[in-house]
Amino acid sequence: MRALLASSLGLPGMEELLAMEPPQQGLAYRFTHYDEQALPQSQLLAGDPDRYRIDSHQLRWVQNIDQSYTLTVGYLHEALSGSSPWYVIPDSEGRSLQVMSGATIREKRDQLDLGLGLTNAATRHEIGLGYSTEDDYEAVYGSYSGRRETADGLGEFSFGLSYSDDKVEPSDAAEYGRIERASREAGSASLGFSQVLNRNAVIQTGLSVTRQTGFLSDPYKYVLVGQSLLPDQRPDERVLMAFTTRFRQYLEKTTGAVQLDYRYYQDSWDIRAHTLEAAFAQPLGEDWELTPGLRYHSQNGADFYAPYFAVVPEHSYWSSDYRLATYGALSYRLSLQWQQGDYRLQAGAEYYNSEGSLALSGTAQDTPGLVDFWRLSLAFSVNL
Amino acid sequence: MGARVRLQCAMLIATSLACAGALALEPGELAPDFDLPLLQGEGNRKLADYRQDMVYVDFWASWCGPCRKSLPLYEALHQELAGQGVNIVAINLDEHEQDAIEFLEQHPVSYPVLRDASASTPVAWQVKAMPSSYLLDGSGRVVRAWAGFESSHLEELRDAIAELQSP
Amino acid sequence: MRLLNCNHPEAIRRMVISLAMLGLLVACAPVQPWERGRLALTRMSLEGDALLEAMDEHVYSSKEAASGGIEAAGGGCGCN
Repeated sequence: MRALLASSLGLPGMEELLAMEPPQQGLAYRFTHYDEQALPQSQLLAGDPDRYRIDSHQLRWVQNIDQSYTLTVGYLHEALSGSSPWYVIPDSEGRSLQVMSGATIREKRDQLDLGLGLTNAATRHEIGLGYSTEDDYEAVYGSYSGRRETADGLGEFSFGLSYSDDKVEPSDAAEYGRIERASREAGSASLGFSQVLNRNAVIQTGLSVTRQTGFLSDPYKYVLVGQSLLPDQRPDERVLMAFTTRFRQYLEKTTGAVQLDYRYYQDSWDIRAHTLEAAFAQPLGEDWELTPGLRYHSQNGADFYAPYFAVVPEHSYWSSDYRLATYGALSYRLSLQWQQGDYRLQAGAEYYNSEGSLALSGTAQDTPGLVDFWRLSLAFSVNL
Repeated sequence: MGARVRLQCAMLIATSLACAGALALEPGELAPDFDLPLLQGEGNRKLADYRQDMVYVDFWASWCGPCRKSLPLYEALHQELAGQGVNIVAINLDEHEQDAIEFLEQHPVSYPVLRDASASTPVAWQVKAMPSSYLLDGSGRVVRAWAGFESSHLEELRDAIAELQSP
Repeated sequence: MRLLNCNHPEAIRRMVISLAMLGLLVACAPVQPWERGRLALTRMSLEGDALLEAMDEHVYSSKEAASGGIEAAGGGCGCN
């Protein structure tokens, strides 16, 4: 009897009081169809206006092994076809017209992710390794992430590190005068904290910093600089930072939940962006849940972006890639979910529209390449 | 106004951090009595009903992962220990009893499951984690307590029961 | 090339204001271990659906200039 008393949890240490839950085991599959709107004829100078269409399949398997270990295996396969923006030429009135790539690209990409996690009383560690391969691009990456609960179990610190090493071998390099082979690397660190505010609300905030080096230009894009058509040329270093806050609030009246996410982004190419996502998840009856949502993104362009350059810029970097321009994008989303016991089915749709005029601040230039797209997805998952 | 709210938040976080160090129901202590209705079925059960025998009390809810893992294992243990004078009693703390009932339809157990809608029992027993479980001896005293659930707890529980049973 | 300008006053001011406003709107209250049922609902999860989050990050970071967030960056693709 005395031995029992001595060995019991008489004076539990802070750590033993709480149990960090191991991840839920299960299998999940998601199919996504991504479809970009064709470039309007009024903005097209030459090339194929039909833009990207991508079908993706994602698979994820989480399996707990032993008491504390978790294995995660992820696989992605996507098939892509369509044309992409090549360069921009002004017409006789100075309006920018987009030249698209001629032949339709047809490509496939495969990605494999492996993760090993360890869950202790108040901490969880995870290391991950991944590999992505497609015709002209190969990436290898690794990561570590750790989390730790606070003593009262209501807060959690998280920390992450990741590194990636990519190689690009553009197709038809000799034919188009593209670089034959190049590489880039990126290293990143993140720090986060989440806190339960009350039984109905939780907040999380985090910061991530990334440094990219190497060949960061787009080997398939050109820029009109003065009278010459030159390859896209970006600095060989980019330091970027993202600050994110997430908030979830349960509403007793309807049992729905408000989901708010905000991200502030800034990088050494002078790009600043704000992204706000808002959604409301409303249960309908026992098993259904409807979630309408909105996403607003606004960015200030890179200081070496322009649709074209009348004169050679001082800093000798140039890009006509619309993704580095000043613009704003609004997307409308809707998702419907059915869940019963261990089974879940979900269907989602998104319409994304980007315009120079939607930018919060900064002067939007004439950017004919801005993209609008539809995204439809279907997902199935089962808890094991 | 803003500063006062921020100060209140900081104080609450500080006190809850401090309170985390406060001890749960300690071995050797007499467990507080309860008188709770069965989740499914008529009637109540009191802790006093289990005097003279060992009783293992488990606080659980359907939304807690380790709780879901533990119930089938406790059911197996309950079958194993039938007739050995060991009682298992679960106290469900779901906000909506329908969630608990639906869960039990998927994972039925044959030991009594009680419902504490007002959550007065976990307060009295100073429950600090979900799930929490306590092994009591024949005089109603806590022999051993567990916070959270891991499969190793079953071994520890079996050992604790065996020790109590040996003269 | 100009390095990361963390002293951008506009940005810092906005961050602090948004956090402070959130703190004012929501009351902090101690939460008992058995009162975490609502927080355990999938719609209250901070991470959301893992495959959807991964696909969102993939789509938006290939179509916009910004990337990253709470977790450090993961994979890479040629996406252009």
